[in-house]
Amino acid sequence: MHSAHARRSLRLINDSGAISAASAWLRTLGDTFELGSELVFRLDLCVSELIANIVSYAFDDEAPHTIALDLILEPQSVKLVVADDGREFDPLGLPEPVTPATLEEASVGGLGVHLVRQFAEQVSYERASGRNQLTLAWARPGRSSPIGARAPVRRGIDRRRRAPAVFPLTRADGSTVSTDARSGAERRALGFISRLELFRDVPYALIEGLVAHCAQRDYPDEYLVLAPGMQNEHVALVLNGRLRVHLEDPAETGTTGYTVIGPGECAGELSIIDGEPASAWVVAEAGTRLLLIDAHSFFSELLPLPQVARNLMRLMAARMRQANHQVVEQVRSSMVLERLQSELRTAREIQSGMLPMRSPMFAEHPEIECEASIQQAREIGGDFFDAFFIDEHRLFVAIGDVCGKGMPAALLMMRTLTTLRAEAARKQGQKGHMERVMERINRKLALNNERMLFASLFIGLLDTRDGLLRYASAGHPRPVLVRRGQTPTLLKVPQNPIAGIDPTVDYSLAEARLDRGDLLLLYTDGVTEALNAQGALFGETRMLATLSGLGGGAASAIEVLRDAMRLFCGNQPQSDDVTLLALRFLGPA
Amino acid sequence: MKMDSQPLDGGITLIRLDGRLDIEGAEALDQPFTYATSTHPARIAVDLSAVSFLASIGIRTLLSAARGQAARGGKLVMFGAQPMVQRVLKTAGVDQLLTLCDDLEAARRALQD
Repeated sequence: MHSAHARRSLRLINDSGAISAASAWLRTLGDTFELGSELVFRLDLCVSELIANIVSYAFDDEAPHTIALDLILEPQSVKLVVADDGREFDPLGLPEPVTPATLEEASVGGLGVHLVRQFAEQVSYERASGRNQLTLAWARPGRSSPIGARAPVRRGIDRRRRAPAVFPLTRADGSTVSTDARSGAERRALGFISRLELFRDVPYALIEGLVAHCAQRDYPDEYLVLAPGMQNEHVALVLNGRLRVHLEDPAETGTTGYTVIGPGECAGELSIIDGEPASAWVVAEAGTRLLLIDAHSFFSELLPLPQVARNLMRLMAARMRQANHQVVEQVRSSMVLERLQSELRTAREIQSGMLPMRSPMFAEHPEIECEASIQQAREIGGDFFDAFFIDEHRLFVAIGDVCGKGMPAALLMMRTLTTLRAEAARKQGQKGHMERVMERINRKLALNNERMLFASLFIGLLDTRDGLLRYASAGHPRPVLVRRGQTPTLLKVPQNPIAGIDPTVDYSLAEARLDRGDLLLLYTDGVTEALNAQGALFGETRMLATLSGLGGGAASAIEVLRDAMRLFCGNQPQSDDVTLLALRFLGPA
Repeated sequence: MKMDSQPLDGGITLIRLDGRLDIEGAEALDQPFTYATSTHPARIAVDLSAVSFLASIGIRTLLSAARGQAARGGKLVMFGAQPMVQRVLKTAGVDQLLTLCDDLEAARRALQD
């Protein structure tokens, strides 16, 4: 059936089923009226995208609304009218989406409207009596005329204006246009006008004569259209492709840090208006076609049109807002970053300041050799250690690791260290002293622990008169015991849970006796969990092997281990704090 | 919308889509296609030759499959799109992001790279 004139209507409710219903309706009509598979595809795509938009965005309430579809067939054209009573939305007012550069950046927001604009031959929008009405039109494939030889259809439908232009026309500045100077070919070539921001809502007939005589130019890929200092003589409207605007020389900075001027937008208007040379680099990407309007025509013929002037102002206002926004964002983020960095620096200084960083640690105690090293990762971490004599003969040592990084971990580490010192100094030497230190710390961490931060901790008390070491561990890696002339082993440690989880845990203690020359090495998991470029762990075995046959004292044990780790990790950045505390018993004074 | 998959030699998985990639098609595909394309690293060729319609919601499905596979370290290419489907992909600009091949042979070569 190929009826010359026909009109079919469908009314839908704005639920998600509307899309499929509209699509099925159009496909049936496409069959009935022999519209051809390509046009049906286009109708189907446009109606699917438009109704998806209406259903998702047009209505703020939950009430049902009607979406009206009308398919109007005329001998030369097919029109689809989509109307709804939702919030005002002019799909022609949306900017063209920017093609994402990578798969990760890709999203499909705004794509629907873009597809509609590209798959309809003409689009016009009208808002009247609280209703959005969008009219899409196509040339109708004729039964007799083969594809490609269709009757010409005037493209770029006049928006909100139905009657054809009547000559002579009166321009806004009072001058008149006496005859229609356009040729048929020009009219067809000017379909892009409706898509240009500068000509939005401008009566077609007022500008097409001028625009038809402006140069359209295709640019080779990466062509430099403008550079700072160049005198610019045209306003360039992007018909196809896109321009990149760089504030710094793209030959030096490459293709980073630019803004994009896409189809429908314009460039060069600033330097035309103020007469100054261009201030940025403008580069054409592959397939870019520009319409060039010379300064004279721009000022004498276009700017006097009220709608053009208004569009230009709107465009410049948008640019200005965008520039302001960028400046404000830049200032804000650099201020925030600066403050954050300075806070982190301070935190790290405070943190480091709390640790006993001196070498040797106890020069006044010849019976003991004690050395420590902490290498902080780039981010502020949670490692800590401590060593001090609680009385003349007894040395308290501790090492720990607060899980997590950043400020919360740093604060918790400081709290733990403070608690540790206070508790270790209290009622020292009494029965159950060490157990109490452990339990107090655990309870302090576990109560008020909203952030669920935990700490592993090893504490030990060495009596330098007889080498007796009493120790306890809360989920901390087992220290290495290097007995003189023997293979290094991991110290036997009673298994206790990590501190901060359960406030009621009772910690059990163990004892070991150090002989003259024995060395105890405490470390954090930054040592055993150091990674090399292949993703392998440094590990306990490698650590023990490194320490075997060790001849020197506490300082050289730390040095040897750090050298081995450096060799193993290569250039792999350090991801966690690495802390070592070596203790060598040299015998009673 | 129908989907079936079969292993080919060379460690390639062929996934054939058949039907309309509209809102219903995308919903029907959502789980099986995501599962088949994004849960483990693989080399996947998606046959689009029986896909008769593609809307933006379907582009989302295809993009997220390619993205999911890229994130797993594998590769996903598509081939055989009908002219109008090809045109939608091109117009959306995603032909630059997805690997679109003419036929299975070209898809195989793209996966061997």
